[in-house]
Amino acid sequence: MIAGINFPALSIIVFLPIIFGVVLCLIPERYKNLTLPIAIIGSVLTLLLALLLWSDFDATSGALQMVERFSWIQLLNIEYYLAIDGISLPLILLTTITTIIIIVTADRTIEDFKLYLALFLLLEGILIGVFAAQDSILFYLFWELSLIPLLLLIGIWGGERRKYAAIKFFLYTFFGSVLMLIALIYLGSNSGSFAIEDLTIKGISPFYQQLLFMFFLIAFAIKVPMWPVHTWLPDAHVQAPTGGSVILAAVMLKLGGYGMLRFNLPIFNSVSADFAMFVIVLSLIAIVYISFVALSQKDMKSLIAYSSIAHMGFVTLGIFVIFQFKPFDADTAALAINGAVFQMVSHGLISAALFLGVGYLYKLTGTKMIADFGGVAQKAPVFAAFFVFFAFANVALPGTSGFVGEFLVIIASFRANFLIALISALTMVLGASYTLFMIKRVIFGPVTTDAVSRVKDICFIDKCIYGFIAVLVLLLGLRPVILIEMFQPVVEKIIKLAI
Amino acid sequence: MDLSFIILLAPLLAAILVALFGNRFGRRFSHLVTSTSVLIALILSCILFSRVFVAQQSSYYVEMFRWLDIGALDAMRIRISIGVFVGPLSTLMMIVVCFVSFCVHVFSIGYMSEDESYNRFFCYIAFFTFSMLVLVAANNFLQLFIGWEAVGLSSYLLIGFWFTKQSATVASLKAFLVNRVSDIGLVLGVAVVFYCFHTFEFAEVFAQISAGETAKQVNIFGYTVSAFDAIAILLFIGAMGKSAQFPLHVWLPDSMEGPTPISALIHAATMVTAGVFMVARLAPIYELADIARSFILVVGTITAISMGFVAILQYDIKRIVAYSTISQLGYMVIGLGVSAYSASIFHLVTHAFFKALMFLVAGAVILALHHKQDVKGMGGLYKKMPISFICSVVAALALVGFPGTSGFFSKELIIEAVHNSGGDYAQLFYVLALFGVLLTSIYSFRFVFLVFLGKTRLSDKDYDHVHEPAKSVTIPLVLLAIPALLSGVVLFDSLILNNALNIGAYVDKSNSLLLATSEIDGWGDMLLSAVKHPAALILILLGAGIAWFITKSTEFKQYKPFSIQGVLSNGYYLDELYKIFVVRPVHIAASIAHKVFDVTVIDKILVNGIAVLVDKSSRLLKKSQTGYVYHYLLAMLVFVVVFGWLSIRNGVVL
Repeated sequence: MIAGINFPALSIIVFLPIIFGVVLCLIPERYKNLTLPIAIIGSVLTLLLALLLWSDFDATSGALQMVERFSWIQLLNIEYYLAIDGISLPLILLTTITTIIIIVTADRTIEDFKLYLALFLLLEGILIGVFAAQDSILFYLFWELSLIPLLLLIGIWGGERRKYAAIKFFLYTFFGSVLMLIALIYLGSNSGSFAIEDLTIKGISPFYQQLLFMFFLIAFAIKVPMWPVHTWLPDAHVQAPTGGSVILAAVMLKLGGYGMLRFNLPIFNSVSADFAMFVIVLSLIAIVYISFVALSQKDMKSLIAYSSIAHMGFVTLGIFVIFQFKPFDADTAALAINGAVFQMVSHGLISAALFLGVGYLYKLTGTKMIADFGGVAQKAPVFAAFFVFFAFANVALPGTSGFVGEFLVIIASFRANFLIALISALTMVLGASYTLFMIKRVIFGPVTTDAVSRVKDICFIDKCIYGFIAVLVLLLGLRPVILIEMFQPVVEKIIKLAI
Repeated sequence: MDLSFIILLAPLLAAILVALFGNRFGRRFSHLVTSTSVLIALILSCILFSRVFVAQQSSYYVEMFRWLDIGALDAMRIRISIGVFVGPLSTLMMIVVCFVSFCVHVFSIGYMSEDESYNRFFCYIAFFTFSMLVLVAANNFLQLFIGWEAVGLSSYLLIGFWFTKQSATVASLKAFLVNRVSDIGLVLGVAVVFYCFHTFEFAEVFAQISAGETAKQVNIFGYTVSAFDAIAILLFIGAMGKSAQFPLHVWLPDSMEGPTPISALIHAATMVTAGVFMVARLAPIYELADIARSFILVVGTITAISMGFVAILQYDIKRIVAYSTISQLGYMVIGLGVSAYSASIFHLVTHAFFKALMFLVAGAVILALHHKQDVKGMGGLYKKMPISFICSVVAALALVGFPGTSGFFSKELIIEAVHNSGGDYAQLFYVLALFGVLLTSIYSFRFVFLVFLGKTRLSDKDYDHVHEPAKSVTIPLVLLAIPALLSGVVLFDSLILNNALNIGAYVDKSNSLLLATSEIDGWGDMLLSAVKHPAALILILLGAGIAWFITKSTEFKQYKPFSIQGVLSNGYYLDELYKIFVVRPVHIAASIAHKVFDVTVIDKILVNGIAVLVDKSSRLLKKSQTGYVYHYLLAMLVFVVVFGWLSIRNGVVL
């Protein structure tokens, strides 16, 4: 802590949105036009607090900062332990930004608008909690809690097959979390403390080390999601309301990669190396095979969902490829992991924007099938310009943030193997294919369908939101050093522990 | 702020201003802002050029901002920055880019005057100019790649400029994807560079090479190969897409769907030469890659010859020029293949002028004929459009390399360099390069004859209405015609004989270009040599004769699909082959991946299967809930025994 903050900032930033969420629920029906202002105030305050954290954050240090640590359940040695470092802070910022975007652009006409906004505020607090928790049981608590708001969002405001999607989402991720809980308890009792930094595998037999590693890996792999445990994501996205898709793609998928960096790498150093090739292969399958699947999608949302899986492949590839380096090089490893973390933040922004765009079209036309569109650029030129811009960010065009992570990971993976670099580089063609096919059919061409004739251009507020995301995407693409400076000390620490 | 920053930022600022306010302030605002910005960039480029090229001051690099900065040790830090490299080659390129861009801006004021999206057009071309300047100003691989992709984006947007037209959106997508295929090579090349040199900076790579790091090896697919060959070939694959080399050239003819001014600017003069520029910029690497240079020579020769044939049989006025461009790019690549880097750059520069001129002439004709592009319906236009006619003759003469014109010097040098390259098959490549001159001559003169000479094939009424377009269209033609004629004479001595580009500093004495020019003292000597060794001149005249002969008949036959003419006029059916062997399999694979694997195997069988299994087994378990105490006791007993036994076996003390 440098100066200024001498109050429990992290607790406040976790519970402020939760309190606002609860307050929203309690607003009586006759004051219902206060709903949106209160939600906006809540989310803006949270963002301001996050910015305050940032301003007080010492980016040159890899240590945990803003520490709040109290004994919680003494009997089991479980603590209430919040702190942040250079990886959790950017993800917290991403969470707060995403929540504001969702609340401001939310469709006011939907039923139970109050509850809808409240759930997002609750989710925001919970997700910040996941990123700030440094006690593994506290981490698990937030992790599990985060399922509930999204489950409700899909289940209540989802599409036709919302029940199927919600249950599938829940069972898949719950299955993973149970394994993680077992592993956490085992590790915690082995280490005598549940603080993440204290967890150790010393004294555990190699077989159980591997088993525990797998438990964590499965839990995180489902969240990322990695092939072949990804099939919940397209269903969840297609059925979820726009805001649900946005928070899911922008933040919730990042929990997987974040977990791997927090648990798998630092705790299971040599075991990670054993499984590295396995994870790399799965990542490459995600990058290539899932891109193929994306190519054959007819629904825009499911196309972007598959695109997310393919892009998240770079996160897992970047994290695990360092174990295959021949010979090992710390700088290249830093490049790979920085690339992976950068990809998480960047993908958060880009996929959020794309889902917003599809949501906007869906609101106006009632359809999100690619075949129902064509010529949107004529009816809504400003919207089209933004959508094309974000599509190119998704294609990883240099100068946008989407480029940085993929580029760094591809460059670094040559140190492992030419083939890995080659296969991952295929994304340059495949990603461009499915994204631009969609752009060609939806945005360009003549106006032929009824649906498109109902499209009109975005309003001023939407322009501001899209413009804001676009500026962030460009800024991070042109000056990735802003984020990477923050990651670097933590990444170095993780690499030291992992190798 | 360094002067050079303004060169880059002026067009960018103009593009942003037009994007934001173009529709509010109108057309005059759009074209004034963008043209002025490019003019400013041109003037400043000339100032820098006179410093580093003419006055031979030393090159320097100014950093704009840091892109990446990581690393444990300060000495080994990985630093990447964005900035401007001011050297002879980059400033020369800046002048070419800004000059052609300025001409195209002015030309477009007239050419696009009836288009609804006038402002958008000027925004795009200003952005393109900016991107191209970023590319040529690069001092590291990252900035090169940023510029590389940014010009690709501009090209995509401009080919698909008329986005309501299905064919335009298809062509733009194709251009982007084909370029992306080759970009894989570029990125992997950069990866190998980083692996070997631990840096992205050109200067640092060159420094390590001159310090003797010339024996590096890398492992590719289990084979240990020379790192330089690997880097050179991978990067060249990147160049093959952008510079439209066989077989990755297929996007360029289709790119003619875009407005003609951008065909002149992007798909003839500047962007497509980016690959050639890159190889010349990285000459020290390519000098250490013999295998790669042989590969480059072969690719260049195939491209130059095969596309020359195709150009002869085209009837779309723009496609003739497009295939001609690919063929000439082949010549530049041939020059690279025999280490004649300066000659390739020379040809790049002269080609930029005469090919932009040729395209703009085509544009003027298209405009005069109300967007008709079929040369079968032209002819005899010289009376109605004298300026365009004269300009087309200038362009054609320069294109074929008629002695004295700019193209003569540059192309002759490349051919002579091949002659002196001393490889195993040098003479074969020399003959092929000469043969290419014949092809060039045929299609160039055919173009002039079909469009401007002979009896007109327009109806009388249409013919009467044809007239030279507005001044803003003809002035750029004249502006370009001057360097198309004279740039060879002006640049020859400094560029080639005095080696002002300083590329030769890395090149040894047996260099093909040095040998080719060993007995030449000045451009006059070069002209004389054309008379002394008249092979090329004879071929040019022969080509003109053949062109006259084949354009004499005004009956245009439909080619049979599998006759020689049919195959050639369809570009060897490469598009169809790609469709059958690449595009369709990809789509089939995609739908199989989705339907069979994701939906059926994973979801139906595994995920839902487990759900069904859980359901079934819970029904089964329900039956065990019999309600009899002794059943439960038995179950407990069995459990305790089994669990206890397992625990003891594993050494667990309960």
